[in-house]
Amino acid sequence: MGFEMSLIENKLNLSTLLVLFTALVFTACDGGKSDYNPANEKVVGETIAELTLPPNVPAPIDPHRAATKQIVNMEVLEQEGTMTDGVTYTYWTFGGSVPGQFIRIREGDEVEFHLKNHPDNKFAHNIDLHAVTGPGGGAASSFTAPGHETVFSFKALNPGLYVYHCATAPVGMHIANGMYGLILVEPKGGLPKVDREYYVMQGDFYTAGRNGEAGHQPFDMDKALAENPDYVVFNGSVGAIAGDNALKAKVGETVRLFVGNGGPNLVSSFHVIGEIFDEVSVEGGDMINRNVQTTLIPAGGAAMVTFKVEVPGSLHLVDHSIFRAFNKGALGSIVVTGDEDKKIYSGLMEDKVYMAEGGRSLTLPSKGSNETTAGSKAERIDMGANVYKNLCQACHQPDGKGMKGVFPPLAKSDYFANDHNKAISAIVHGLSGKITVNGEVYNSAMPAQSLSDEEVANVVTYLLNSFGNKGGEVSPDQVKKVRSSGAADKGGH
Amino acid sequence: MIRLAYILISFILLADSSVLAAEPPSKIEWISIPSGEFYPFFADTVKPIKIDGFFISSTQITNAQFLKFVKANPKWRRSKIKSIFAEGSYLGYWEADTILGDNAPPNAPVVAVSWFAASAYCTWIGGRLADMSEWEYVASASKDKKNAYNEDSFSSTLLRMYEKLPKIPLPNVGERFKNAYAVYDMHGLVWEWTRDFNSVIVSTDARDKTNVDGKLFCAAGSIGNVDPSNYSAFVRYSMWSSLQAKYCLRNLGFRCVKDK
Repeated sequence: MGFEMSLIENKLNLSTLLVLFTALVFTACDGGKSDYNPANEKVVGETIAELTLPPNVPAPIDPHRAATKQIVNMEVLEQEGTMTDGVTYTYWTFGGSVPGQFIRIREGDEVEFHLKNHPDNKFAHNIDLHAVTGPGGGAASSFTAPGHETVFSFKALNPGLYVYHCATAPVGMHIANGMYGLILVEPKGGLPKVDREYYVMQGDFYTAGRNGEAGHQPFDMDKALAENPDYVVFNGSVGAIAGDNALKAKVGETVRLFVGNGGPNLVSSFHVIGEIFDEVSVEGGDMINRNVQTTLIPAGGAAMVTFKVEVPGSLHLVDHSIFRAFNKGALGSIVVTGDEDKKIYSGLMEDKVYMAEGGRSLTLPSKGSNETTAGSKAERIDMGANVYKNLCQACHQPDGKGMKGVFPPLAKSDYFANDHNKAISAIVHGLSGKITVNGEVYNSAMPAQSLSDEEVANVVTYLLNSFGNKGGEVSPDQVKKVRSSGAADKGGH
Repeated sequence: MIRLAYILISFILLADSSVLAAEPPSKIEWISIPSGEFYPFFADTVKPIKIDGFFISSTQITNAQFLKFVKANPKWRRSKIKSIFAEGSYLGYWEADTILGDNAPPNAPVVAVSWFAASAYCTWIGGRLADMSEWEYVASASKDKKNAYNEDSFSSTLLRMYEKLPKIPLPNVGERFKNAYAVYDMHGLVWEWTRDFNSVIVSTDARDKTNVDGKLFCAAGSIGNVDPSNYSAFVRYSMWSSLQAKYCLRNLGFRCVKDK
């Protein structure tokens, strides 16, 4: 009974709150943005909308421009393009690019949309613009056979940054082939002024061959269903906004990125390495979040991010689901030029060797007295080979040849050929500073390795009998002696 | 003078023989298709459609074959056709009313023909267009298996063929994909009209599930069709559903069937 009573009380409280809230909302409206309703704004005149290819966007709309009829002519083209060096893909595009042409209108505009399906195309297409209020976002009225054109119109009621895409069956395949883009509906009065604006859109691609496999790669339906893409890229291909195609800005400028995610499957953790977004219009809507490191952009969603670039250098755009960036292509750049500001960023000030306390940075579980010992030289070599694989080959390489200038070679090494103790010492004490091996100078550091005398004896014996070295054997006793005598040689000859 | 005459005569002979060589086999080869059952991928139930046996032309109708038809039936010529029967692009890649020209090799499939024209042709040779289920029944054969639609690899093979559909001037019929019925080019050359191409699908938004036809078109992965992963079927059906009977597309031709 008491429980029911409290429920009723709660209801009462709620309705009271509701009344209060409604009152508040009305007050807010009165005090705020007059009673502008884009649906009622009169449309004056008509123009052909300027459409741009990525990464460019049309110029901002004059804040004083009246709502007009905007005629958008968009042509669907199925065409072969380059996914990455040596790999081609048949893209399906809105306007000849992935992402499709950027559309920029303002709330209150009436858009007359002409979708043209090129006569040489093989498939029927349509368009769903998320900025449209109506069935299918326009898809229901724009289904177009090759060699045909459909026309429909809509009134832009909600400002924001919206994705458009093809919604013809099989929808996933049409989107996976690149049929998406962005339409910006500016609020009445426009967006805050910035110095530069760019258009970036992420997409995931599914090819028959794995990432990097050369030749023409057809779409792979199984990988798409499994949501396991071979490529995740910005603007349709690997390097589309990197290298020579990098976006540009100057120190002191404010940059706005219109960022979309076409999917079809993946959600993007959009991040710019070396910047903090001063403002993010979350999900492309009205909510502004400030001081953001990484913003989530859902498949079929978008965001506007703005930031001021303060220092010169390259900023890297990534999907911070980071394997996508470094292994599947989701990497772009903004090259910022201008004067350095050491107060904001110093650049590299010092680079020196760091050795952890006691010179031991690798501490493995200590070996007990029940350690297996080698019974013969052959056994010692076998056991040493295992130590080498687990510990040494990451730097000195499986073939013992090291890496020129970085990791000295152990193969045919003249460094320890005549003095095995130098090899032992490097392992038990570590080695840093300048040394010369086979005529090449190395100035680096190797940490001391936490190995037992037996293990060191094994691995050095293995070395002496491998990689073209001259042979020989080292005993645990010899290791013990070198260990107790301290670091014999710290390099620096 | 005599030499000149010789040259002239040999020219005429040469020209004549090249015409003869280019003359296509105008006779249509009919392949007998046995009765059987067909499971349409868009069905609600797993009840199959019964197919009565019929004959189907082994290839798509060629430019040369269609040329004979328009020569014999002037009202189906490009300049004469009524606009309600075909839109402006009708046979637009031919050089003239009764001249094929470079873009229309005699043995390549005729395209840019409306459903009305395709139907009229089939009637003229004593046949008709195939029903969609008859067409799909024959098209479900791979190289060596008569029903291969339930095989994943077949569906992806088809998708790849669709990606690589050729453009005008098209290659000859009967030289590419031959299926287990010995019927050529059911996939990978040009799309084909069927008698009831627009009877199943009228939904224009692929994800609309609110009307009767929506089940075809909810995005793949839905439960509205027998095999949601059959992307190749989605592609064919969405192509058909985008058409109107007067449309003339540069990658849409036809073949005929005859009842037994």
